[in-house]
Amino acid sequence: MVIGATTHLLACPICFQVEEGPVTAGVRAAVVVLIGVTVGVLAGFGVFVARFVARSNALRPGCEGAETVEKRPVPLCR
Amino acid sequence: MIPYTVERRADTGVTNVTMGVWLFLASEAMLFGALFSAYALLRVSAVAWPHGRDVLSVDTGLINTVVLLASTFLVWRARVGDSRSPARRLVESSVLAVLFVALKGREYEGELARGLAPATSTFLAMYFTLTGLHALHVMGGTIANLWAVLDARRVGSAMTAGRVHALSLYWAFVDVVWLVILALVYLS
Repeated sequence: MVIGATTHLLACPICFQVEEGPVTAGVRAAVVVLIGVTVGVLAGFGVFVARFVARSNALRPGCEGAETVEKRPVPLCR
Repeated sequence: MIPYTVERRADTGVTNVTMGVWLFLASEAMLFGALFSAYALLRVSAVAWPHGRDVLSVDTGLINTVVLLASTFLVWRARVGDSRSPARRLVESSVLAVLFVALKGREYEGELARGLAPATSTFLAMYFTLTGLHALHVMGGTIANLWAVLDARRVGSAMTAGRVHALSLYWAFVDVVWLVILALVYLS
């Protein structure tokens, strides 16, 4: 019943089911801003992690060009 | 001693100092992001919202912008290295940062004298919160600048260069936050 009728069981504590109004618009704007900031920060983390993975792979023993990884930021092998 | 404070780690490609400051800036971005989100909530849901240019001193805000950008520019000059020593650039940057805070204090004084307190309106509450927190960051950056200068002789030039690098990233972040505040609060 909870899964099937979630919207009927849970009233929104912000807008009290008034779907159009200044408070609802404000909450939407706030959520958009916070999502934008969060996505930006997480994207930065993603770039960091991807870079670590690439460098880690390039540093593996037997990887061609591993000894030059310090001079070249791009991954040399995967 | 913490390793990789001077030389870069092979796996990350950066020093631990740079890594640490990036993580710190990520947390700072979330802090200010939450405040900007609150600003959006309050502004969009408000029935009436004053124009910042009608209530606040835009001239002071613009002067402060120039002062802050100049302060950051000096830190970046210290980072890239020029004819003057990094320590001197950091001291000059700190003087400008203190000037920024002093101008902000004068601005607050004038606003409070006109009865524009945080309790006056939601707009002013957000204005004092955003600019006050930002001014605290400017003060913190100034203390970090002076710490880097005073500790330079003890830790050596390589460690100081890493600290200046971290400071340049921090001040760039402080500038970006200020420009957003200027656009949202003063100019809109």
